[in-house]
Amino acid sequence: MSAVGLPRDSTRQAEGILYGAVGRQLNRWTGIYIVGFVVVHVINEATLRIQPRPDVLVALHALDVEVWARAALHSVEGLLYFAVGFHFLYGLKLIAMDLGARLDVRTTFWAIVALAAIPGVWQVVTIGVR
Amino acid sequence: MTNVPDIRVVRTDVLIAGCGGAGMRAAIEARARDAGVVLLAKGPVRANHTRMSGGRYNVVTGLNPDDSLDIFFDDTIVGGSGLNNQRLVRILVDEALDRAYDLESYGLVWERKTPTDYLVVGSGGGSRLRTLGSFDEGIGVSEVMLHECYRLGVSIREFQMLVDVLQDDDGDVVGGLVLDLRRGEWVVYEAASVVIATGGTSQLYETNSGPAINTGDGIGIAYRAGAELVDIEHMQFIPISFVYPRSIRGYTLTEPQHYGTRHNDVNGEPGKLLNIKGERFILKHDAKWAEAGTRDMLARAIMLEIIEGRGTPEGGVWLQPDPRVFEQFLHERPIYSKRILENYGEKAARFQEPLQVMPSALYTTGGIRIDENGRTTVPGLYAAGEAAGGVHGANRLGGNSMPDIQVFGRRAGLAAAADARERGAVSVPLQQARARTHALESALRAAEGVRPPHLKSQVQALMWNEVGLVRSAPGLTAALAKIRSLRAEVLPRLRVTRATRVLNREWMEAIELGNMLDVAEAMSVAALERTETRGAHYRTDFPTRDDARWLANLYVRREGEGSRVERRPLVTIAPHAALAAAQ
Amino acid sequence: MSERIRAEIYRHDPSTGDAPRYDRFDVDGEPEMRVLDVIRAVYEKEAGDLAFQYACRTGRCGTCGVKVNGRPVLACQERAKAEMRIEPLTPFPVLRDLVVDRGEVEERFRALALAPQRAAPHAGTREAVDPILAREIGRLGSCISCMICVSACPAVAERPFDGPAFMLELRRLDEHPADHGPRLEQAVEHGMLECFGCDICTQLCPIDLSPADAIRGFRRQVYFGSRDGKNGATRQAR
Ligand SMILES: Cc1cc2nc3c(=O)[nH]c(=O)nc-3n(C[C@H](O)[C@H](O)[C@H](O)COP(=O)(O)OP(=O)(O)OC[C@H]3O[C@@H](n4cnc5c(N)ncnc54)[C@H](O)[C@@H]3O)c2cc1C
Ligand code: HEM
Ligand code: SF4
Ligand code: SF4
Ligand code: FES
Repeated sequence: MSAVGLPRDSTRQAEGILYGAVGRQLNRWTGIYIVGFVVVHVINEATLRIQPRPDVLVALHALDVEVWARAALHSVEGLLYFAVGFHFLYGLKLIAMDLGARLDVRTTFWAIVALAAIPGVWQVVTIGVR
Repeated sequence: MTNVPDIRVVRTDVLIAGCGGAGMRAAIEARARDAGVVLLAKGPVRANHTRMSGGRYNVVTGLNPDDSLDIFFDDTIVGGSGLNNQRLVRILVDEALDRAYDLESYGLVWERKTPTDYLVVGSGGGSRLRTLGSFDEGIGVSEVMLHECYRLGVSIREFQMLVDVLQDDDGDVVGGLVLDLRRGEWVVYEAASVVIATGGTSQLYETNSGPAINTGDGIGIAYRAGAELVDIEHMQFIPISFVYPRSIRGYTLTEPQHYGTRHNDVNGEPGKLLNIKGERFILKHDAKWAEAGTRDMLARAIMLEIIEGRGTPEGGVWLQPDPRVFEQFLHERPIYSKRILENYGEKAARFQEPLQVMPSALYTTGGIRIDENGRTTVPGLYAAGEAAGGVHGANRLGGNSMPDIQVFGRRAGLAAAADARERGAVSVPLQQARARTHALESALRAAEGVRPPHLKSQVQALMWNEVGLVRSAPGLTAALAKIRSLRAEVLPRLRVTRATRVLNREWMEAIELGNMLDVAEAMSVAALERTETRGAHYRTDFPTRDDARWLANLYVRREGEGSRVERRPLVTIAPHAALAAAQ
Repeated sequence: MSERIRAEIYRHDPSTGDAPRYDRFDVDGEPEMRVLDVIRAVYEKEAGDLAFQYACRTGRCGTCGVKVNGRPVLACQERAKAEMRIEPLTPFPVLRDLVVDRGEVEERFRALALAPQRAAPHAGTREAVDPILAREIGRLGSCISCMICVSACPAVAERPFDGPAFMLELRRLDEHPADHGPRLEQAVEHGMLECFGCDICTQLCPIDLSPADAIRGFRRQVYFGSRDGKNGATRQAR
């Protein structure tokens, strides 16, 4: 409409999404999600040769193979892609901003969510269709 | 309350009431001279008027070759309609620059065009460009002073309210009685010097531009202690301010000229004022200057329009800004654009739609009479800043308060520290304090009566209607009688909802009301006495300025339960040609 | 608009033994009404013993901060909601009802020694400062110390960190050409590196400042050093 931007109307601060809070929580939960995956996967790989196999390891193997690797639940795998994408991009954003990039909290938040969702959605959609 | 805690006694050299610009400057000076200093703030340290201000600072820097100390002096006197104490004005003019450098040394950064050339702009009533400013405005001014106080080790007491000064048998001040609002406890500060820097009394008016703490406490306290007040009939009103929402009603929108091309071009047009019928009513009052006229004329004209029923339903008139100056306005005053956006909407903020405006009480021009060193007429009692009177006469130039609080804050601090050293230890009459605390706790004990906020709104409406922008003998006489009867009948019958001692706002307001009513009395007495129109003091029954009789000051002093008002000749210094010509 | 506004207000007087409670008030709505208007209406009409704090009512004194529906805001600026819960600003100790004790905040300001630490006393003449830098220092100086950002900051809640507002003040001094205080070291000592970079402070600051950016300015100094041994890192970035 007009070229010159007005200052911000800051009379509705208690309404709407607190982007910084959501972004940070998502980064934390995606980080934990990735840790979860990596821990399960790495321990399973490392203990494959242990015999006789105690129940824990059997369960662990099942978890790794059934849930994560074989992607019986596509949404779980999709979520993993999302987690990696979000955590990676969000981390990059933090680093970029520390180095001097000036990015708007709101737009970058939605951009990162959108970008991170692409591989996961793609995965679910393609496998789901096949 | 049954269990009244006894009074705590604290000894210091200099007690300063008021943590705004004047109080902090006095504290800095006294502390730098090794005096023990206690600085009181009625609320949190940052709750003061100085912080709300634009921080515009009038000073002759030498950067504008067209300006000089004499011209600054003359502008101030002409702006004050001739009533200023010329000795004080001379000091203001002469010392403003050094005090501006002091602020710079505390960390304030004045806006500038080159690394060493300050940006010097114009300000209401100034005939030359001589106003400095910093981007952080009054916030910056008060913040750097606070950090300087911290550096020097000034002890600042938040939520401690000066209630009265204590005097010995000769009437000399020996300390202050203070209510610690946080605990509800009484503290007596034993101090040879007490400085009043509690700011103005804009809260006396229903619609005002100031902070809630400006209830004129210090002026009332000094008046009760026997000090003389000067020019107290003069209250400055800003012509245009917000009309709604309620919280911001009265907050200044400055002057109409900033909403038109006149802002930076003396031949340009100011923003236009219109009444509900769409008439440019200002032309009836001042066809030549119209909306670029003086603040007092504008405020009065708008008020008359509202009183006579040609205002908006919300109680204002319309200001039609010029969309062409929007971008510049936004650049220079982003905070105003933000506030207009938030309160009146985007179209108004872009100057595509008229704004509702109304006058508002801004500045207490008169106050406690002081000499060149901030001494009042009571030994041991000092005053500085908006609480003091004399510097601005009948009307203050925009940007003259900032140098005032620096120059006279410093002088008061200096004198208070020196005198305290000379006087040595003093001791307070604790019985006097106890009698006073007993009376002040009556609101806590009362089972029935009037709640303080109700009396407060009554006083504010009365002052706004009768002792405000439009005054007359019948109105003032009635107001004075009402004020006296409220003080005699209702003030002692105030009661609080619950007798808690911790941060009891009603109790604080009850004490404030004592001060408000005393100041209201002095204002009405003086306003009734001055049978002419001058500056913002407009009498419908005496609508012209009368220099033959009234180029003189009014002094008001408490006498018994009443007050005594005296007219005395101006305080002048050797006149110089320019001033004579200007008058 | 004669809509009713329902406010639940936190009540607590720590000087008595009573437990905190929430009192519910219904207030007549007015156009453009602010949270402070609601609080004042409650005080004037219903609860004369309500303790609350404000002074300027225009977003300048920074003393009216409260939490509205869990989020820290300035009461005088925030629009009233049809339903709202009003609480004192956390994590500060409550004096009574909505008023908090800012004594510790002031102690921190005092301890940070925020008057310029000069190599030589001010000369009593105009001090040289680049005009653009002067504006930037003034911009940082507009912080009203309302503690909204400190209240909202997750790093303050989880880690040893003084809070965004203090970093902003240190940054102002660091940018000030006459100041020679060890501002970067102070910032690190007071937890600057704990910041999550989440920009909650930026989003909630009522003065439209960004303490997070001030912190990033310091971080660049940590990574790259500063050009002139003092300030420079943020200036180059702007
Ligand atoms: C919107 C606005 C803009 C302005 N802009 C400008 C400008 O650009 N330039 C200019 O020159 N002037 C300006 N002014 C005027 C100027 O701000 C004031 O006149 C000035 O700040 C007064 O300073 P002070 O130190 O005397 O009092 P204040 O700053 O009002 O300080 C008063 C102090 O006294 C304390 N106090 C009050 N009562 C008691 C008590 N009983 N016990 C203890 N402490 C108490 C308060 O807590 C406070 O700390 C403006 C005013 C307004 C409203
Ligand atoms: C792909 C590259 C990665 C980048 C760029 C990255 C970046 C970051 C950054 C910058 C932070 C700090 C966030 C803050 O201070 O708030 C962080 C936190 C974290 N990261 Fe990563 N990370 C990456 C990969 C991973 C991986 C592979 C894991 C799991 C094994 C992981 C787990 C975590 C966890 C648990 C946190 C803590 C979150 C919190 O406390 O809020 N990250 N990451
Ligand atoms: S940075 Fe903003 S939110 Fe934080 S204290 Fe300053 S003004 Fe308040
Ligand atoms: S960006 Fe840093 S300082 Fe700001 S709220 Fe987040 S953690 Fe706190
Ligand atoms: S009352 Fe001053 S910031 Fe809200």
